[in-house]
Parts: sequence; structure tokens; C-alpha cells
Amino acid sequence: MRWDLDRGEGGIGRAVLSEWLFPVIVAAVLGCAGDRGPPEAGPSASPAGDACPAGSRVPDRVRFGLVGFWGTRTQEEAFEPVARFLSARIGVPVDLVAASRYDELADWIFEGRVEVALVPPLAYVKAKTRVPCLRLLRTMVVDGTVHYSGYIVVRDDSPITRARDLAGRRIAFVEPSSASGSLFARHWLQAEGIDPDRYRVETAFLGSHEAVIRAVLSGEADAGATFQGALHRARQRGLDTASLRILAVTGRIPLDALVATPDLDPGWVARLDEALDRLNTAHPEGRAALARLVDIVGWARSDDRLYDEVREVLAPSGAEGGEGDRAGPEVP
Amino acid sequence: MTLRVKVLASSLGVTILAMVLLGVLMFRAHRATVLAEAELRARAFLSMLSVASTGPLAAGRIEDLDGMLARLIERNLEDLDIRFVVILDAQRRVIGHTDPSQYGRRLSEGFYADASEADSPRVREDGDVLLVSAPVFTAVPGQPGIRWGTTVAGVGLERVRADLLGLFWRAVLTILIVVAIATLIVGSRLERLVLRPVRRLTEATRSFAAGDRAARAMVAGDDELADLAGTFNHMAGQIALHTHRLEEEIRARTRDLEEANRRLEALAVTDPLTGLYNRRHFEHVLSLEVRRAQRMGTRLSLLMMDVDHFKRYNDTHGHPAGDEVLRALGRLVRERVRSTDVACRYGGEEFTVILPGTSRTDAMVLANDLRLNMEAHPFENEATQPGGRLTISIGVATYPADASDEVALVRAADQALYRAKENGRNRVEVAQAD
Repeated sequence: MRWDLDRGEGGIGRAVLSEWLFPVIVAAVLGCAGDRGPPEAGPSASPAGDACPAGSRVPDRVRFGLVGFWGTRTQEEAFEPVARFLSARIGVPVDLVAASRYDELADWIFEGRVEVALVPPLAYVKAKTRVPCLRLLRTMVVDGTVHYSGYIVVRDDSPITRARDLAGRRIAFVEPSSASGSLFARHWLQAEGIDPDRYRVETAFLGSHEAVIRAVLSGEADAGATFQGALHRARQRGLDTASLRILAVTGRIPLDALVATPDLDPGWVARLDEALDRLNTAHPEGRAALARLVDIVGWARSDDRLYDEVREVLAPSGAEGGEGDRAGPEVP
Repeated sequence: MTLRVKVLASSLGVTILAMVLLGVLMFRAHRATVLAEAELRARAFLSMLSVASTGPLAAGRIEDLDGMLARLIERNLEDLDIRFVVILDAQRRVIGHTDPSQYGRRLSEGFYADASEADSPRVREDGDVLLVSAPVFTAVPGQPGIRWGTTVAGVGLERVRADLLGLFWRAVLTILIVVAIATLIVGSRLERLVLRPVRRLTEATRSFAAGDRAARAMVAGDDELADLAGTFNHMAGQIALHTHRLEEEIRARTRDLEEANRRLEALAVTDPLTGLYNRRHFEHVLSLEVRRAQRMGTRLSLLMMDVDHFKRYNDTHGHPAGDEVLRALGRLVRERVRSTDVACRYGGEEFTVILPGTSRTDAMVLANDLRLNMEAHPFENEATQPGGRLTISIGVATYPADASDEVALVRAADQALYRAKENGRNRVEVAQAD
């Protein structure tokens, strides 16, 4: 594990610059909307619906992109009933394709290698920047809500009880582009007036929420940025999450976005949308399809403005794009 | 029905009507407010319950819902008047209920069906319970969202109704108190402002109508009744003044009329030349006096006289000279007779004198006095008359000695006069019994 001293300028150290900002800059140059301004140009980076030309492609197979942060195979198995559910209603096979990292999934969307994808929030914002006509179909619903909370956790016996106690401590993050595992936690630190350079805060990106939780439990890290679902997941995997204490709630973050690529025929997308109406636990068939996805109870119709909360946090940092996000939908 | 009763009845009627209307409106408004409060309480409760139950309902964590309801029961929902709480899933099955025996029931009719279909809260009164519902859903702002189920709370209305009943009786009591106070105030003001002035006006009018010209209504103030009393007083004064003037006028006219009547009457019975009574009056008076004498058993004498050789004098010296003789004789008679005697010009140069209660002897005395006075009275040119004097002859008759009635009495006196003429004139003769 490599611990970096956070340089404090905007709360982002070298690791962030190398692993987060660079891809964003590249994306801005390569993106289909290269002449478009940065996300902070408005509350929503989405162009008006009328500004996007209607697609015409009717696929004979649907590639459903996921992030398999807990393991691509595991993720595909968990979503397999969902794929069957959708296939039965839209009349074409649905293939699940799980990316190991979120930037990979974003690339697949950009390159047209998937028709439909379930994208974590920060990744969605970045993908939307690259593909402005990306169609937001739904937002995932977990535990009856379209939001989740980001946390900074410490060990229950830790003397850290407030933000300033983090001075000279080690904080574990997930990935630079993880919403709860990095972005919102850094934003909270800034809001609390913690200048990492002045307070000599050491940071490290551990790659997953589970790794962050384990690091805090083991004492490798004094604090860690994660989210409620990850704690739940860790508890299921046998970790002693009861030994953890939530130091701060870093924000309420919109859940993963279900998107469709802009080249698809609107009529076909409408049929998919209609199928998604019943893909929730309020309907028996939807409940069966979601049986393997313990926390997910459906997908609610959404609006791109929901993700403005992410954009607002992202904008002051000057960061744009990036790789990775939180661990995606929790699976058993 | 008196004015007091009418005005009080009208006033009280209006007051009661207004109070009842106000009471009904207030009652209805309060009822709506109390029900709205109950509804608001239930909706606030359901709003929190819906938020708390969204996750367990969506995930089908029945045990979480049960635990939540159990905690709610422990918190004593009675404080909120909530009798029961129901949680329905999207298929309208009861998956949470404060009464565990209701679990698993499917509520597909009535309020529950309506509430399960509606995207917004529903409210309905059902007997003693106010049913309030709230949908449970997850939605991105501006989007339809996913409907997970419905929460329903049954709010007991006993306390609300007891509150309303209390309000009703308080309203009734208030109305009664207000009406009683209004009655006292209105009655008092009515007596002072209306009834007393009206009574005074009535009394003054009655007195005035009964003839009391000084009757006036004593009403103070500057209102219409005082103005009416002032007008009445002014009118009464004017009427009294006019009446007084009219009475004065009538009295003056009456006096004039009586005077005129007297003059007319005098003219009717008076001989214009001599100023003595005329023959018509003579006959009337004689008839009366004879009947009086008959009734009283008294005597009555009658003198009948005639100017001797009057025609000759008249023809010789002219009618004016003859008239002057007649006027002078009239004066002589009038000067000599009593006030109770009645002297008349019988016609031409003939005169009569009715002497009530006078005997023949006394009549003879009077007749001679008259004859002598005439004989002694100087007349112009009387020397041309036989004997060189203007004289009179007189016949005297007395009732009942000489006649039994007035006609016979006149005849008797006339016959006596005739004999006086026959016997040489300038003499008095008495009637002789046949």
C-alpha cells in the first residue's frame, strides 16, 4: 500500500492528478462533444432532448454493461435473472457484460460496445460529458430510495471524533473517481476546513470499498471513505463492521444510472422502458428477477438533473472525468 | 299585540336567527377545522410512516414493518387518536397492521381500492373513523416513480365529536346569554327611546281630542319621535289658536244673528208707523193671554180705541199729517201703559191695548187717562176738527165678564167702541153684557 501526502490544492494529491484528472482531460478532448463546455456550465450537462438526433438502430442482441467490482462473474450471475426478464419482454437476447473498472464501462459506452449500461453516479456524470446524448432511462432504487449516503468511518475505539482529529492521520479512499469513496469524502474535508497539506493528511486509494473497510478495521488506515451499502455488504461477508463508527456523513448521492446509447431507435427504447416499469419488487415477476440482488428493489424513472448534486460537488475541484467509482450494485 | 311585544319579538327573532346562523357557520367551520386537524395529524403521521416503510416495503422486509408497527403501538397511538394503521403492498394485501389478525387480507374494495389507485392521499369518513391514506413510492422529482404500496391510518373521531358536542352546547349557551342580554338592552332602549315617547304622544293626543287644548307631548331628544312630538305640539297649538279664533268668530256671529233675529222679530210684530205691535202680534198675544187668564183664573181687559174723525183730518191735511197724529197717539199709549201691557195698531186709526190681570175699573182708569192725554196733546191744525180738538174714543171689555174667548172679547170691545162713537166720541165705553 502506498500512502501519499495529500498536497491539499483542491484537496487532490498527485495520485488524484494522475489517476483521475488525466482521463477526464483526455475524455474532454476525445469526447463527442469536444466543443461543449465543462460540466459546471450549468446544473445539467445534458443537452435538450430535441437537440439529440433520434437514433434508428434496432439491435438484434442487447449488451447490458455492468461494473463487476465484486467480480465480473459474480455480478453477471446476480444480474442473469434481470437479463432473462428483459429479454422475455423486448424479444431479443440480453447479454450481460461486466467491466472490471468503471472507466472500462465508460469506454464501452463511448465506443458503442454496449446498448444499455448500469453506471455508478460519478461515472454517469463523466460519461454524459463524453456522450451528451446518452439517454438516462432510470435510477437504481435501493432500500426504497434513489440516494445513498457516503460515510467516513473510523474504528469505534478511535480517538478521532471530529474532522480536525484527522490531522496527521491516514485516510483510505477507494478510487479517485469514486463518488462516496473519494469525491464526496474530499468535499466534506474541504468543507470542514481540513487542508491536507497543512494537516499532513496521508491518503491512499485502495481500489475497493471492502479494502477500505478492511484497512480501517485492521488499523492500517485511521479513517476510510465508503458508503452504507458497502458496510452492509462487508457485514454479510463477515467483517466486524460493529467495530466501526461513522465519523461523518459526507453526502447524499444519487444511485447508479441505467442508460441507453443514443443511436437506438426511440420505439425500441420505449419498449425497453415499458419492461423496466415492471422490473421492481412491487410486481411479482419483477421481484423474482431481482431475487439475487438483495438491496436493489427496482429502477425508477429518472431525470438527469438528479445528478446535478454530483456535478456540484465535482465542479469546485476542477476535476472532470476519471476512472472508477464506488463498487456498483451490491450483490450477495 | 302591543308595539313593545312586536318590536321585542322582531328584535329577538332577528337576534336569534343571526346567532343561529352564525352558530351554524361557526360550528361548520370548526367542524371542518377539527376534521382538517385530524386529517393533517394523520397525514403527518403517515408521511413519516411512508418514508420509514418505503425500504422495508420495497424489499419485502415484513419483519421490519412489523417491528416498526409494534414500536408505534408502544408509543401509544391513542395520543394521536389513531386507532389503527394499515400497510398495503402494491397488490393491496395487508402486510402490516396494528392488528396482526388482519395480516394477509386483500383489501380490493371501497376506500382501500381507491387509496391504492390514487397517487395522492385520500380521506374519507367511515362511521366513527376518519380514514386517511398516503401512497408509498420512490420517485425522482418530476417523475412518476415506483408505487410500493399504501399506508392507511384510521383516526378515531370520538374526541372530535365530543369536542364538537361541547362546542354545540357552548354555542347554545352563548346564544341564550346573548339573546337574554339583547332582550334586556333592546327592551330598555325600546322603553326609553320609543315606547315612553309614544305613550306620551298618545296621552297628549287623547287629552287634546277630549278637549284639553293645553295638552302637549313632553318628549325630549332629537330623534324622529321628538320631532313628531314637536310637530304634534305645534299642530295642537295651531289648532287651539284657530279654535279659539273660530269660537270668537262664532260668538260674534251668533250675537249679530241674534240681534238680527231680534230685529227681524221686532219688525215682524211691529207697526212701522207707530212703533206699536201690529195686528198679527195683537191676535197672537191676545190668544195667549186669554188662555193664560183661563188657566190662571185671572182677569184680562182689552181697550180698543179709534181717532175721532180721523178721515176728515187726513183728507183735509194730507196723509203725512194723519200719520203724524197716529205716531203721536202711539207715543201717548206707549208712555202710559205698563210694561206688561201690549199696545197695538189694530189697523188704520184703530189701536188696542191688552191689559193682563186688569179689572174693568182699572182698565177704565187707564182708558180715560189715554183719552185725556190725547185730548190734551196739541196737534197741528186740530182746530179744524169738530170740537176743535183731535180726540179718541175707547171701548173697554173685560174677560171673563164680557167674553168667554178672545174673539168675543174683541167683538165686545169693538161694540163698546162703537157705542162710544155713537154716544158722541171722545169718551170711554165699557162692554155691556148681552
